[in-house]
Amino acid sequence: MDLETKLAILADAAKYDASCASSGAPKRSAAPGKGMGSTTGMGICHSYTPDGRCVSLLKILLTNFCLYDCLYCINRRSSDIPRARFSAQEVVDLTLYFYRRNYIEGLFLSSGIIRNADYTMEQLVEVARTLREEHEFRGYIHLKTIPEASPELVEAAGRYADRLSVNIELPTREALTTLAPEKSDVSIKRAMGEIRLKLDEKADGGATAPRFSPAGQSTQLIVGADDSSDASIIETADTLYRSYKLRRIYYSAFSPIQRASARLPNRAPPLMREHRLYQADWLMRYYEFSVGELAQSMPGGKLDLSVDPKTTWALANRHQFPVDVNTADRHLLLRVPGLGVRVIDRIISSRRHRQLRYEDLKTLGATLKRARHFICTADYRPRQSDRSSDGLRRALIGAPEQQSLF
Amino acid sequence: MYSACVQEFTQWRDVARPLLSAGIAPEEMEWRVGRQFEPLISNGSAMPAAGPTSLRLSRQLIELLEAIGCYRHDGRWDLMYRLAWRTLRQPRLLEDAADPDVHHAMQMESAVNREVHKMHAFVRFREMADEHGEKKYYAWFEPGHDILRRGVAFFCKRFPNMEWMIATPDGAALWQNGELQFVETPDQATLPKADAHEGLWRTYYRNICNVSRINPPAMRREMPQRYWRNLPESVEIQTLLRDGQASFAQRQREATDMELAKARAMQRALADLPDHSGGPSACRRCDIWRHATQAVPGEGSTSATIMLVGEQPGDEEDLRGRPFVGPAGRVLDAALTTAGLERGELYITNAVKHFKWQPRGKRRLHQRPTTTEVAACNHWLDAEVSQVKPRIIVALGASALRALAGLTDSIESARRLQIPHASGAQIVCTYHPSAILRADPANAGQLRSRLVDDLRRARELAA
Repeated sequence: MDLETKLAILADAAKYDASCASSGAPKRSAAPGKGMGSTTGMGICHSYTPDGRCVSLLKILLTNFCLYDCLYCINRRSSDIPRARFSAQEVVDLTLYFYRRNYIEGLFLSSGIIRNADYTMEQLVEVARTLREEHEFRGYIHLKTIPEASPELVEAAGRYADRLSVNIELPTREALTTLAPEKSDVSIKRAMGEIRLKLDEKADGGATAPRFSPAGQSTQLIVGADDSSDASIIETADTLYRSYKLRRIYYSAFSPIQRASARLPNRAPPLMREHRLYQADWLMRYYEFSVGELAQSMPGGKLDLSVDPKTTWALANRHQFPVDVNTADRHLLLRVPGLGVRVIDRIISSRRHRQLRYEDLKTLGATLKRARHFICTADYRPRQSDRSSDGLRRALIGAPEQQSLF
Repeated sequence: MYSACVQEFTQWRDVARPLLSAGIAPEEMEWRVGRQFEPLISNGSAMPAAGPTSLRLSRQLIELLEAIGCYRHDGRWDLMYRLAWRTLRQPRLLEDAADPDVHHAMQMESAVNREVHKMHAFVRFREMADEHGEKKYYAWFEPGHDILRRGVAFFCKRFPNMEWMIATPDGAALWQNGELQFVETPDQATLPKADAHEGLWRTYYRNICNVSRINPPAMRREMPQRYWRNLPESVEIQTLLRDGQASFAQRQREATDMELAKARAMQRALADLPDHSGGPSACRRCDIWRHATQAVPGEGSTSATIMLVGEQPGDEEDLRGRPFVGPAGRVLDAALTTAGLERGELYITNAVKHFKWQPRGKRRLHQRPTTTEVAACNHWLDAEVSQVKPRIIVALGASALRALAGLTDSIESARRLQIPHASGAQIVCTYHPSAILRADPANAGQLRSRLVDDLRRARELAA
């Protein structure tokens, strides 16, 4: 099988992994005379595909042969798709071909499980080692970590990679037992815990401790393959963030796969639900919302798909509004729908110099369509503060969406 | 008065420095537009002394000015001078993001930084061996601002051990033997037309795309079409969009009502149709048009302060192509007269522009439009509102209220509310004239007087 055919199969097999980030690595660059590559700390998206997602890394599987039969996975043992396997050298070559032409920031390598966890992990580590040691490659490397791989292999992976990830895939143990009978939530969490411990060791050990995955670890949760509620998903997410110090969790709307099991939904990927989960996740991480607060404003454990979760929360907590943008502290401003972190920074900086008026907020970049119902300024108070939350919600839905979300 | 013509940041700095030291006000200095550097001249006034200066400008300001200096706009040099001049008098000016100069400067800075970022992302090298078999890498890139110098440092760090050139329409950067030079733009014909591994890259691009999630607007937002011609992978886009359409059609069948209006917007994007093709008569945003004669646009004064919005054209309107000319129109006309309003001074339209009906005997019986249909037609209503810019919009009946404010309240309760429209106009809600026609005779009189009252209120609010 030629390289191009393998690439087609093993890229297709990798596309259900939503992770694409190339951020978080320390700043570094290639030295004169040897090697190639750099990282700036910020990720770079080198291209975008018509699904609206970015292409930052060469995201491929080493092989899509797999011992496991996880029902949600296109690469499961019982799936009759074409199979292929790269040699380590082929992956190295592809990475360098692409990197040299400025197509990518680096490599994201994952794999089906072949023979056993250690054997599979060894193959992944070998690719990363070759790139780093033989080619002095300084670009970004993200390696998938196979649960139950030996600690030495995980340590080696962390030495070469910028980021490691173990995908938990399903939000509850019950779902995992039903859909991925050969996987165990315990071994997945254990693998995350092991990485967390090594990250802590590195953090405590400082410059003298051996390098370990400087961009931390991440994971992925599939949304819509099982019937877990949104509340249980964000609760799981909160637990994972708190327990394993994840840099981020990717939520991946379940895409129907060919010849799927009858136990899985054969419908379009729930993209709006995925989007709302990302928004809720952002609220927990950057907007000082607790998981309890968010869960409280989710009747039946479901996110309101027509309104963003911050607005949902605000509508359920009208007594906290309107917030005076000229005097409110940061924590309170973070709760106002239509005000993002950057706009809030500008408000706080700008109000030292002037009494903010309604028009000023436009200049500062606030989304007044939502914010205007929840703020007051030197010259403005919401007129319809007596309107019911329900009516306000409907009014907000009637307003056109800023982004097209699919 | 003074004047000069500069082309880049360092020239601007050299001209601005003595002017700033001498305290020359921005109004005294003209930054002329031109293609050539022309040093400072004065028209009558004494030239500022060129000697040493004690100007202190913050690092933050200088970084901001360097960025704005790359922004392609004739007014950039003037804005930079004004910012520097004002900051010398008001040191914390930059903290005030609501100041118009600071606001513009920050917008220009982020546009320039974005363009630099896009250069880092979208430069594509092609490999070509020279006569000695040495591999060299060439890229052709067309930036939206003058950012070649600003953006090129990144490549020096990333590819120090390759020989490469990034050529743009306004000069090229050449990296050779560990040194960077800026050279004239080479003849494009001398640059490589293809590369041995572009095929692999296109294969990767095609296969990493998940067509069941097709979302071309998101792609275009981050990768605007003006970059496509220099991206080898872009030749795959059309095929992927076609594959995506099939998958999308499936999704649309399963979408909820709420998603449908957006789904249609998506469909237009896929077909690359212009947004306003042919006006409402050619509109295919929903399916009502199939059984209607024509679209019925609004009519009246385009400078009206009051706009009336009904539900949809009726049988007679559909045939005549004018709103409110049937039985309900006659009720409305009478109410307008009683309320002291001139029909000719208003703008009258409907929430939905096509007539939706079902057969009943030989008649076409009015059928209420669905939420989705109302939402699909909002496009046209919004266009009318932004053209007429009324102060007051009278919502005649529940469908109009839903279209204008997204509310599903009963008319009885909604007519007591103050409801703002997204355009800033105020909405006055009242009964649809056809409700009076349908009401039993005992109630009709009361409804009629409420309609008149509400119209009168609209007149007073608009005055």
